[in-house]
Amino acid sequence: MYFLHMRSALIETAASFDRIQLADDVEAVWKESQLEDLRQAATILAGDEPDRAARILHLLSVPAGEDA
Amino acid sequence: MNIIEPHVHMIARTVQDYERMARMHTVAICEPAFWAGYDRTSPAAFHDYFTHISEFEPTRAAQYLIDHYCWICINPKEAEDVEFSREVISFMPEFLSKPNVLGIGEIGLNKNTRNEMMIFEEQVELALQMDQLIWIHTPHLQDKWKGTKMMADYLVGHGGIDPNQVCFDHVEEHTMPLLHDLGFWTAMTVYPVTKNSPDRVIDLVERYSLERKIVDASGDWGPSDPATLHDTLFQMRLRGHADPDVEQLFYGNPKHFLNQKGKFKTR
Ligand SMILES: [Zn+2]
Repeated sequence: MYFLHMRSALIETAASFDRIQLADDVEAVWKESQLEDLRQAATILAGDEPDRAARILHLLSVPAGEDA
Repeated sequence: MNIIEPHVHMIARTVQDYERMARMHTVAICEPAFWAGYDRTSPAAFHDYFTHISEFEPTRAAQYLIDHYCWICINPKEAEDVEFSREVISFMPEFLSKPNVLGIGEIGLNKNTRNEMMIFEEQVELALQMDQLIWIHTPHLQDKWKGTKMMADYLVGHGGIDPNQVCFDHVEEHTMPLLHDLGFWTAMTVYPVTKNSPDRVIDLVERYSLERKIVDASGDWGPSDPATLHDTLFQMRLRGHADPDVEQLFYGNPKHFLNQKGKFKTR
Protein backbone atom coordinates (compact mmCIF):
# COMPACT_ATOMS: atom_id res chain seq x y z
CA MET A 1 0.00 0.00 0.00
CA TYR A 2 2.74 2.44 1.00
CA PHE A 3 5.22 1.18 -1.58
CA LEU A 4 3.92 3.23 -4.55
CA HIS A 5 3.89 6.48 -2.62
CA MET A 6 7.36 5.86 -1.19
CA ARG A 7 8.64 4.95 -4.65
CA SER A 8 7.11 8.09 -6.10
CA ALA A 9 8.57 10.38 -3.42
CA LEU A 10 12.05 8.88 -3.86
CA ILE A 11 12.00 9.18 -7.66
CA GLU A 12 10.69 12.73 -7.40
CA THR A 13 13.54 13.65 -5.04
CA ALA A 14 16.12 11.96 -7.27
CA ALA A 15 14.77 13.85 -10.30
CA SER A 16 15.05 17.12 -8.36
CA PHE A 17 18.73 16.44 -7.60
CA ASP A 18 19.27 15.70 -11.33
CA ARG A 19 17.49 18.90 -12.30
CA ILE A 20 19.65 21.00 -9.98
CA GLN A 21 22.82 19.32 -11.20
CA LEU A 22 21.91 20.08 -14.82
CA ALA A 23 21.02 23.73 -14.12
CA ASP A 24 23.21 26.53 -15.51
CA ASP A 25 24.04 27.89 -12.05
CA VAL A 26 24.79 24.46 -10.60
CA GLU A 27 28.16 25.55 -9.17
CA ALA A 28 26.45 28.16 -7.04
CA VAL A 29 23.82 25.87 -5.54
CA TRP A 30 25.32 22.38 -5.56
CA LYS A 31 27.27 22.85 -2.33
CA GLU A 32 24.62 24.92 -0.60
CA SER A 33 24.02 23.82 2.95
CA GLN A 34 20.36 23.05 2.32
CA LEU A 35 21.38 20.49 -0.30
CA GLU A 36 23.97 19.10 2.08
CA ASP A 37 21.22 18.75 4.69
CA LEU A 38 19.11 16.80 2.22
CA ARG A 39 21.97 14.46 1.44
CA GLN A 40 22.41 13.87 5.15
CA ALA A 41 18.68 13.28 5.46
CA ALA A 42 19.01 10.59 2.80
CA THR A 43 21.53 8.73 4.95
CA ILE A 44 19.12 8.88 7.91
CA LEU A 45 16.46 7.46 5.59
CA ALA A 46 18.69 4.61 4.48
CA GLY A 47 19.77 3.64 8.02
CA ASP A 48 18.19 1.09 10.37
CA GLU A 49 17.56 3.40 13.33
CA PRO A 50 13.91 4.31 14.05
CA ASP A 51 12.44 7.82 14.35
CA ARG A 52 13.64 8.77 10.90
CA ALA A 53 11.03 11.50 10.38
CA ALA A 54 11.79 13.20 13.72
CA ARG A 55 15.54 12.98 13.17
CA ILE A 56 15.27 14.49 9.67
CA LEU A 57 13.05 17.28 11.02
CA HIS A 58 15.62 18.02 13.75
CA LEU A 59 18.36 18.04 11.13
CA LEU A 60 16.38 20.64 9.20
CA SER A 61 15.51 22.75 12.32
CA VAL A 62 17.13 25.78 13.89
CA PRO A 63 18.40 24.53 17.29
CA ALA A 64 16.23 25.66 20.24
CA GLY A 65 17.56 28.60 22.24
CA GLU A 66 19.45 30.08 19.30
CA ASP A 67 18.82 33.76 18.48
CA ALA A 68 16.84 34.37 15.32
CA MET B 1 -3.53 27.90 -27.28
CA ASN B 2 -5.32 24.73 -28.42
CA ILE B 3 -4.41 21.47 -26.70
CA ILE B 4 -4.56 17.85 -27.85
CA GLU B 5 -5.01 15.06 -25.30
CA PRO B 6 -3.48 12.05 -27.09
CA HIS B 7 -4.52 9.42 -24.54
CA VAL B 8 -7.67 9.32 -22.43
CA HIS B 9 -10.18 6.53 -21.76
CA MET B 10 -13.39 8.53 -21.77
CA ILE B 11 -15.47 5.37 -21.40
CA ALA B 12 -14.23 5.44 -17.78
CA ARG B 13 -14.76 9.19 -17.20
CA THR B 14 -17.75 11.37 -16.50
CA VAL B 15 -19.11 14.20 -18.63
CA GLN B 16 -17.53 16.66 -16.17
CA ASP B 17 -14.14 15.71 -17.61
CA TYR B 18 -15.31 16.70 -21.10
CA GLU B 19 -16.51 19.96 -19.63
CA ARG B 20 -13.21 20.61 -17.80
CA MET B 21 -11.11 19.72 -20.83
CA ALA B 22 -13.19 22.00 -23.04
CA ARG B 23 -12.71 24.87 -20.61
CA MET B 24 -8.95 24.20 -20.63
CA HIS B 25 -8.84 24.52 -24.45
CA THR B 26 -8.60 20.83 -25.29
CA VAL B 27 -9.88 20.58 -28.87
CA ALA B 28 -9.18 16.93 -29.67
CA ILE B 29 -8.69 13.70 -27.75
CA CYS B 30 -7.69 10.13 -28.58
CA GLU B 31 -9.03 7.03 -26.89
CA PRO B 32 -6.88 3.90 -27.22
CA ALA B 33 -8.48 0.51 -26.55
CA PHE B 34 -7.56 -0.85 -23.10
CA TRP B 35 -8.35 -3.32 -20.34
CA ALA B 36 -11.70 -2.59 -18.70
CA GLY B 37 -10.59 -3.56 -15.19
CA TYR B 38 -11.97 -7.08 -15.74
CA ASP B 39 -11.50 -9.63 -18.53
CA ARG B 40 -14.26 -9.55 -21.14
CA THR B 41 -16.15 -12.82 -21.34
CA SER B 42 -16.36 -13.00 -25.14
CA PRO B 43 -14.79 -11.50 -28.26
CA ALA B 44 -18.21 -9.98 -28.97
CA ALA B 45 -17.73 -7.77 -25.93
CA PHE B 46 -14.75 -6.25 -27.76
CA HIS B 47 -16.93 -5.63 -30.80
CA ASP B 48 -19.31 -3.71 -28.56
CA TYR B 49 -16.42 -1.82 -26.94
CA PHE B 50 -14.93 -0.81 -30.32
CA THR B 51 -18.37 0.36 -31.41
CA HIS B 52 -18.70 2.39 -28.23
CA ILE B 53 -15.38 4.22 -28.61
CA SER B 54 -15.69 4.74 -32.37
CA GLU B 55 -19.37 5.74 -32.54
CA PHE B 56 -20.91 6.78 -29.23
CA GLU B 57 -17.97 8.47 -27.49
CA PRO B 58 -17.46 10.97 -30.37
CA THR B 59 -21.06 12.15 -29.87
CA ARG B 60 -20.39 12.84 -26.15
CA ALA B 61 -17.22 14.74 -27.04
CA ALA B 62 -18.94 16.77 -29.77
CA GLN B 63 -21.25 18.35 -27.21
CA TYR B 64 -18.14 20.05 -25.82
CA LEU B 65 -16.71 20.92 -29.25
CA ILE B 66 -14.02 18.27 -28.78
CA ASP B 67 -13.05 16.00 -31.68
CA HIS B 68 -12.83 12.39 -30.56
CA TYR B 69 -10.61 9.78 -32.23
CA CYS B 70 -9.81 6.25 -31.14
CA TRP B 71 -7.40 3.36 -31.55
CA ILE B 72 -8.43 -0.31 -31.80
CA CYS B 73 -6.66 -3.42 -30.50
CA ILE B 74 -6.64 -6.35 -28.14
CA ASN B 75 -4.94 -4.93 -25.04
CA PRO B 76 -1.78 -6.50 -23.54
CA LYS B 77 -3.52 -7.91 -20.46
CA GLU B 78 -6.19 -9.84 -22.34
CA ALA B 79 -3.67 -10.82 -25.04
CA GLU B 80 -2.58 -13.62 -22.69
CA ASP B 81 -5.43 -15.71 -24.17
CA VAL B 82 -4.11 -16.27 -27.68
CA GLU B 83 -7.14 -17.89 -29.35
CA PHE B 84 -9.48 -15.31 -27.84
CA SER B 85 -7.17 -12.54 -29.06
CA ARG B 86 -7.09 -13.90 -32.59
CA GLU B 87 -10.86 -13.83 -32.74
CA VAL B 88 -10.80 -10.17 -31.75
CA ILE B 89 -8.06 -9.41 -34.29
CA SER B 90 -10.21 -11.03 -37.01
CA PHE B 91 -12.81 -8.22 -36.85
CA MET B 92 -10.44 -5.31 -36.22
CA PRO B 93 -10.09 -4.42 -39.95
CA GLU B 94 -13.79 -3.45 -40.02
CA PHE B 95 -13.04 -0.74 -37.43
CA LEU B 96 -9.61 0.27 -38.70
CA SER B 97 -11.15 1.42 -41.96
CA LYS B 98 -13.34 4.01 -40.19
CA PRO B 99 -12.34 7.65 -40.67
CA ASN B 100 -11.98 8.38 -36.93
CA VAL B 101 -9.90 5.29 -36.03
CA LEU B 102 -6.23 6.31 -36.05
CA GLY B 103 -4.52 2.93 -35.88
CA ILE B 104 -3.70 -0.07 -33.71
CA GLY B 105 -3.28 0.64 -29.99
CA GLU B 106 -2.59 0.57 -27.21
CA ILE B 107 -0.91 -2.77 -27.90
CA GLY B 108 2.11 -3.85 -25.93
CA LEU B 109 3.05 -5.92 -22.94
CA ASN B 110 1.74 -6.27 -19.41
CA LYS B 111 3.74 -9.02 -17.67
CA ASN B 112 6.11 -9.56 -20.61
CA THR B 113 4.90 -13.11 -21.32
CA ARG B 114 5.43 -15.18 -24.45
CA ASN B 115 1.71 -15.05 -25.31
CA GLU B 116 1.52 -11.29 -24.90
CA MET B 117 4.54 -10.92 -27.17
CA MET B 118 3.03 -13.23 -29.81
CA ILE B 119 -0.19 -11.19 -29.98
CA PHE B 120 1.83 -7.96 -30.01
CA GLU B 121 3.73 -9.25 -33.06
CA GLU B 122 0.54 -10.34 -34.82
CA GLN B 123 -0.99 -6.91 -34.33
CA VAL B 124 2.18 -5.23 -35.62
CA GLU B 125 1.83 -7.37 -38.75
CA LEU B 126 -1.80 -6.30 -39.17
CA ALA B 127 -0.71 -2.66 -38.82
CA LEU B 128 1.83 -3.17 -41.61
CA GLN B 129 -0.68 -4.95 -43.86
CA MET B 130 -3.27 -2.21 -43.38
CA ASP B 131 -0.82 0.72 -43.27
CA GLN B 132 -1.75 1.75 -39.74
CA LEU B 133 -0.05 3.83 -37.05
CA ILE B 134 0.93 1.96 -33.87
CA TRP B 135 0.43 3.18 -30.28
CA ILE B 136 2.32 1.14 -27.69
CA HIS B 137 1.58 0.70 -23.99
CA THR B 138 4.76 -0.01 -22.03
CA PRO B 139 4.30 -2.10 -18.85
CA HIS B 140 3.89 -0.69 -15.37
CA LEU B 141 6.51 -0.24 -12.66
CA GLN B 142 9.03 -3.08 -12.34
CA ASP B 143 8.10 -4.61 -15.72
CA LYS B 144 8.55 -1.44 -17.78
CA TRP B 145 12.24 -1.63 -18.64
CA LYS B 146 12.24 -5.29 -19.67
CA GLY B 147 9.03 -4.98 -21.71
CA THR B 148 10.15 -1.81 -23.45
CA LYS B 149 13.44 -3.43 -24.42
CA MET B 150 11.67 -6.57 -25.72
CA MET B 151 9.34 -4.54 -27.96
CA ALA B 152 12.01 -2.11 -29.18
CA ASP B 153 14.36 -5.00 -30.02
CA TYR B 154 11.59 -6.77 -31.90
CA LEU B 155 10.57 -3.70 -33.93
CA VAL B 156 14.15 -2.83 -34.85
CA GLY B 157 14.99 -6.46 -35.67
CA HIS B 158 11.85 -6.77 -37.81
CA GLY B 159 13.39 -4.56 -40.48
CA GLY B 160 10.11 -3.35 -41.97
CA ILE B 161 9.00 -0.90 -39.28
CA ASP B 162 9.27 2.87 -39.72
CA PRO B 163 9.93 4.20 -36.17
CA ASN B 164 8.26 7.45 -37.17
CA GLN B 165 4.91 5.61 -37.30
CA VAL B 166 5.23 4.13 -33.82
CA CYS B 167 4.70 5.86 -30.47
CA PHE B 168 5.78 4.26 -27.19
CA ASP B 169 3.68 5.56 -24.30
CA HIS B 170 4.26 5.85 -20.52
CA VAL B 171 7.97 6.56 -21.07
CA GLU B 172 10.12 7.60 -18.07
CA GLU B 173 13.76 8.45 -17.38
CA HIS B 174 15.05 4.88 -17.75
CA THR B 175 13.27 4.06 -21.03
CA MET B 176 13.65 7.43 -22.79
CA PRO B 177 17.33 7.22 -23.92
CA LEU B 178 16.83 3.91 -25.78
CA LEU B 179 13.61 4.95 -27.55
CA HIS B 180 14.84 8.45 -28.36
CA ASP B 181 18.04 7.10 -29.91
CA LEU B 182 16.13 4.56 -32.00
CA GLY B 183 13.95 7.31 -33.50
CA PHE B 184 10.59 6.23 -32.10
CA TRP B 185 7.99 8.74 -30.94
CA THR B 186 7.67 8.79 -27.17
CA ALA B 187 4.74 9.85 -25.01
CA MET B 188 5.14 10.74 -21.34
CA THR B 189 2.19 10.12 -19.06
CA VAL B 190 1.51 12.41 -16.12
CA TYR B 191 -0.05 10.50 -13.22
CA PRO B 192 -0.52 11.53 -9.61
CA VAL B 193 1.67 8.70 -8.25
CA THR B 194 2.74 5.85 -10.50
CA LYS B 195 4.10 7.55 -13.62
CA ASN B 196 5.64 11.00 -14.34
CA SER B 197 5.03 14.26 -12.50
CA PRO B 198 4.75 17.51 -14.51
CA ASP B 199 8.29 18.42 -13.41
CA ARG B 200 9.78 15.13 -14.58
CA VAL B 201 8.11 15.43 -18.00
CA ILE B 202 9.64 18.84 -18.57
CA ASP B 203 13.00 17.54 -17.30
CA LEU B 204 12.86 14.86 -20.02
CA VAL B 205 11.95 17.38 -22.71
CA GLU B 206 14.82 19.63 -21.66
CA ARG B 207 17.25 16.71 -21.80
CA TYR B 208 16.06 14.94 -24.93
CA SER B 209 14.54 17.84 -26.94
CA LEU B 210 11.01 18.40 -28.22
CA GLU B 211 11.65 16.16 -31.15
CA ARG B 212 9.10 13.31 -31.40
CA LYS B 213 7.85 14.02 -27.85
CA ILE B 214 4.20 13.88 -26.75
CA VAL B 215 2.57 14.36 -23.33
CA ASP B 216 -0.66 12.77 -22.13
CA ALA B 217 -2.61 12.35 -18.90
CA SER B 218 -3.97 8.86 -19.70
CA GLY B 219 -7.16 9.40 -17.72
CA ASP B 220 -8.80 6.05 -16.99
CA TRP B 221 -10.69 4.23 -14.18
CA GLY B 222 -7.74 4.48 -11.75
CA PRO B 223 -6.12 7.42 -9.96
CA SER B 224 -5.58 9.84 -12.86
CA ASP B 225 -6.78 13.28 -13.95
CA PRO B 226 -7.00 14.88 -17.42
CA ALA B 227 -5.98 18.19 -15.83
CA THR B 228 -2.44 16.90 -15.15
CA LEU B 229 -1.80 17.52 -18.87
CA HIS B 230 -2.55 21.21 -18.36
CA ASP B 231 -0.54 21.25 -15.10
CA THR B 232 2.42 20.12 -17.17
CA LEU B 233 1.84 22.83 -19.78
CA PHE B 234 1.81 25.40 -16.98
CA GLN B 235 5.01 23.94 -15.51
CA MET B 236 6.72 24.33 -18.90
CA ARG B 237 5.66 27.98 -18.99
CA LEU B 238 6.80 28.54 -15.41
CA ARG B 239 10.25 27.37 -16.41
CA GLY B 240 10.38 30.10 -19.04
CA HIS B 241 9.93 28.07 -22.21
CA ALA B 242 8.73 30.10 -25.19
CA ASP B 243 5.10 29.80 -26.27
CA PRO B 244 5.89 28.27 -29.70
CA ASP B 245 7.78 25.43 -27.93
CA VAL B 246 4.92 24.88 -25.49
CA GLU B 247 2.50 24.78 -28.40
CA GLN B 248 4.71 22.33 -30.26
CA LEU B 249 4.71 19.89 -27.34
CA PHE B 250 1.00 20.06 -26.52
CA TYR B 251 -0.45 20.60 -30.00
CA GLY B 252 1.97 20.53 -32.93
CA ASN B 253 3.76 17.30 -32.11
CA PRO B 254 0.71 15.14 -31.39
CA LYS B 255 -1.04 16.58 -34.44
CA HIS B 256 1.91 15.71 -36.63
CA PHE B 257 2.23 12.16 -35.33
CA LEU B 258 -1.49 11.43 -35.34
CA ASN B 259 -2.19 12.87 -38.78
CA GLN B 260 0.38 10.83 -40.67
CA LYS B 261 -2.42 8.86 -42.36
CA GLY B 262 -4.52 11.97 -42.99
CA LYS B 263 -7.32 10.99 -40.58
CA PHE B 264 -6.62 13.39 -37.70
CA LYS B 265 -8.24 16.52 -39.06
CA THR B 266 -8.59 18.64 -35.98
CA ARG B 267 -8.60 22.43 -35.63
ZN1 LIG C 1 -4.29 3.79 -21.61
